[in-house]
Amino acid sequence: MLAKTFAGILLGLPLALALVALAIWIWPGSSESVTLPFLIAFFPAWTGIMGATYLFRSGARAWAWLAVANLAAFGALILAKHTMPGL
Amino acid sequence: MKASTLRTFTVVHTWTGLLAGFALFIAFYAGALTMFHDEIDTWASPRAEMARADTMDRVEKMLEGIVATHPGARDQVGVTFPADHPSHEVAAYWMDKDGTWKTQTLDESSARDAEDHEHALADFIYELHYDLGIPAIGIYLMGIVSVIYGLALLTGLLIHLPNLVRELFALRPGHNLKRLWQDAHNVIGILSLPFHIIFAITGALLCLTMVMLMAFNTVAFDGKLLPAFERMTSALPETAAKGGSAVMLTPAELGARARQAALASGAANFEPDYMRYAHYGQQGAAAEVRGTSTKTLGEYGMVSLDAIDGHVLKVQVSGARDANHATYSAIFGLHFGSFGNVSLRWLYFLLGLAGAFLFYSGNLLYIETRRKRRQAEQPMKVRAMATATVGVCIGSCFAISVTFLGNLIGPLFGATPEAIVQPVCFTAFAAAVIWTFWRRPAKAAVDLLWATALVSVAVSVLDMTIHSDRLMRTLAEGRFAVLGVDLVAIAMGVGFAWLGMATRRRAVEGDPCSVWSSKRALVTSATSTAAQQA
Repeated sequence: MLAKTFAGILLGLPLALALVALAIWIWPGSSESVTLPFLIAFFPAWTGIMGATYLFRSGARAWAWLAVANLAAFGALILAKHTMPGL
Repeated sequence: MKASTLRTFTVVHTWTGLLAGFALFIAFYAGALTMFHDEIDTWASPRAEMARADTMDRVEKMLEGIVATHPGARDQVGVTFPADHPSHEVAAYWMDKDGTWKTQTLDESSARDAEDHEHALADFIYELHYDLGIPAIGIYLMGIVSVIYGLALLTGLLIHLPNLVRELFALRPGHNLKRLWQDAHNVIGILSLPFHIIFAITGALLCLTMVMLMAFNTVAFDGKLLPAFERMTSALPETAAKGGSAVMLTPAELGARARQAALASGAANFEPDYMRYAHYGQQGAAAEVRGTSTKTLGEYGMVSLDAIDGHVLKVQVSGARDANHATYSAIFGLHFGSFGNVSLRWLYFLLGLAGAFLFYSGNLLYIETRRKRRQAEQPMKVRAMATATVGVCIGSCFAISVTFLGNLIGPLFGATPEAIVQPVCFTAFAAAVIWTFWRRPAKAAVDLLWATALVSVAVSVLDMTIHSDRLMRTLAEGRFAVLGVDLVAIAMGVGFAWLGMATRRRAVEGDPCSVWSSKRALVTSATSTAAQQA
């Protein structure tokens, strides 16, 4: 349970950050025009991930899946940075 | 949902409640009072109120002086417009070249640090709301508390979800006290859920925006977010000083022109409350006027103008703003309850008190769930929780009432309210906590509730006696802030007295096998006798 908690806190934070940033980057049209409305979603997203982390069968699985999700999200973010206009 | 998942969420809900509940109780109680910040401020400073005649005429001279002696202010200097509550001074704000924020009010002859924590009563209660009175790190602490609060809301909702519809309006009084507390906790939690979601999100944002922005700025936007944030939240276009010297339009003139532009853009109205100059006194100078409008979710709007000839550069007001400005303004509007009239503030006040009750009842449920039903002596964690709940929660209500009293009678002994409100509050709080340890929670709860009731009523009666002329004058002028604070103090005193009576009944007549029973010693011997006979 403690392992899941820390997975949610420590890996949920960068995951929420990457997902929100990704949504801003790939927004069709001007990314800057929707930046603040999307940034609001950061804390709810983090909270949602922390809550969902408890649904994993074990702490190790939570860490593994969240790590994979982070890699995927940051990979997509780097891709978006190189292909999208951004702010 | 599986039973094991439900159990996990219950544990998470318990722990998040334990971690954040106490801070949230104080934040909600102080926050509910802060809904009437301006009224409390008017009430708290009877003398300052009479001397209220600040005009914007003297501002120009002050700004000239500041810019001449502080080169940093030349880049950017802000100034507040007068407001109709006493501790709001017309003051200038700027950042010195060494990076420290400075301020100077109309009545001061030189600049001082803008980060001081010398507050009058209303501002002190507000500070308790957002940082518990802890300087520097308190606000970040409350940001973390807001995140934990969000998780507690989510898990609480999930636990209750299976029974949500069936038990929505269930409030079952009777022998099972835990059932009643659980019903009350659930019904208040669910009915005020939208309000709590707003606060979990906007609370975290208001405390942690800078931290969040810096993380996004570095990790995801390669340093481009911070400059963009400035564009997204202000109306000031990029400006450049072109040297030379120029005569600035006055704040009053710029405020009037900004209002004109705002009304022309569709805002219902526009009351300037703050403005800033960029490149004061130079060619290329610009100004941004911030003001409040009604009939919109986000009351703040901005208009930027050329500070020399006054032509409008950009308008970001209700009805004529982009998604970023509207969102930014809505965060404040939703958190401060400023998108409606006085009835909305009353609603926020009541929901704030209900929120405080939610966290208090959560602690009571923790105690009830772990209560030993067949013995008077209760486990350590139950006793500790009861002591902390009474000491911190009722203790903070007591301390805030005592702070009002200190603000009222301190000046009679020559003390300035700014110097005493914080020490009085912290001392009263410490005394309440020590009292709770000494008297045990069952009796201390009754004592503290009665003391809070007594102090609250005394605040009102003493104010009406000492400042009776002020009360009569404001009523004759048709202003009800002072009377309102006095009446609410009495009403809350009555409320605390009622809680005190109920708590005393629980201590005397309630289940003796409880941390809330005051007849513990007696019962222990009675039960042991009964056990021997059996």
